[in-house]
Amino acid sequence: MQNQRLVTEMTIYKRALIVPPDDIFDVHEFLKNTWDENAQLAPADRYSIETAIIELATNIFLYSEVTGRISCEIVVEIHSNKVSVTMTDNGDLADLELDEHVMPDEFSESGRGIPLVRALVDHFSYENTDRKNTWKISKKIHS
Amino acid sequence: MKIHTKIVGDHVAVLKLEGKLNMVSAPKIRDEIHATVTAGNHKVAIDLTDVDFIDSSGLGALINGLKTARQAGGDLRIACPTAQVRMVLELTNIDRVLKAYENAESAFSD
Repeated sequence: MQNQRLVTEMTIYKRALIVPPDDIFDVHEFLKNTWDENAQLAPADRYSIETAIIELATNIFLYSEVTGRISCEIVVEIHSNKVSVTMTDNGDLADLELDEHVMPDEFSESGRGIPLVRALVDHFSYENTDRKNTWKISKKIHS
Repeated sequence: MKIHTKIVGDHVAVLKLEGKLNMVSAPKIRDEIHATVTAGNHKVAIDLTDVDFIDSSGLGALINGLKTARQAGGDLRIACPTAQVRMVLELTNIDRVLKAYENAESAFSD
């Protein structure tokens, strides 16, 4: 009798950034290359995940304008039924309670980033440990 | 991001944007809308046909422009949002104050 084992297929894409000189367009470029290799992903899933990643990257990169150069790594895992993303950075530790961020009124000019990420994905978490920020998101996919 | 500004009528300007409306391009859009309104064109139509991405920074620039135009007695309207832009407008409820028109040049023809 042949041994059987459960194989979970997953592809991992990584991008390390130093900001500056890297900027938000480097994240767009990394994601474009990732999507090009995963044509099975539905456009709506790609839009949701890319928008959430760019919102988090923007949040991280904005702190580099205050604190100087920041290291950031983005890891995207493409599973058959979901996409998971882990982003880490060494910027100032964020004092952040995700649940406290609600969508502001229509005429507000800021404050939509975190609520928008929550609306885009199925799972969203943040923690700061060992002087490192870790942001995790995941979304079920329909392909 | 490229911005093409065109005066199409009495106090009416169309800003055709091309590229990604993110943290880098948002200040440029905000400044261009301000300059357009200050020049007397307080009815501003934003053509989003060639904008393939918007984030909350971009939304902030559009809302800032909407308030600038209204304070001058005009308005800001959007036209032809792509799929990602429509998704973000809906999730943030901004579609309630920025309804999408089919054509930027006729957005103020009513």
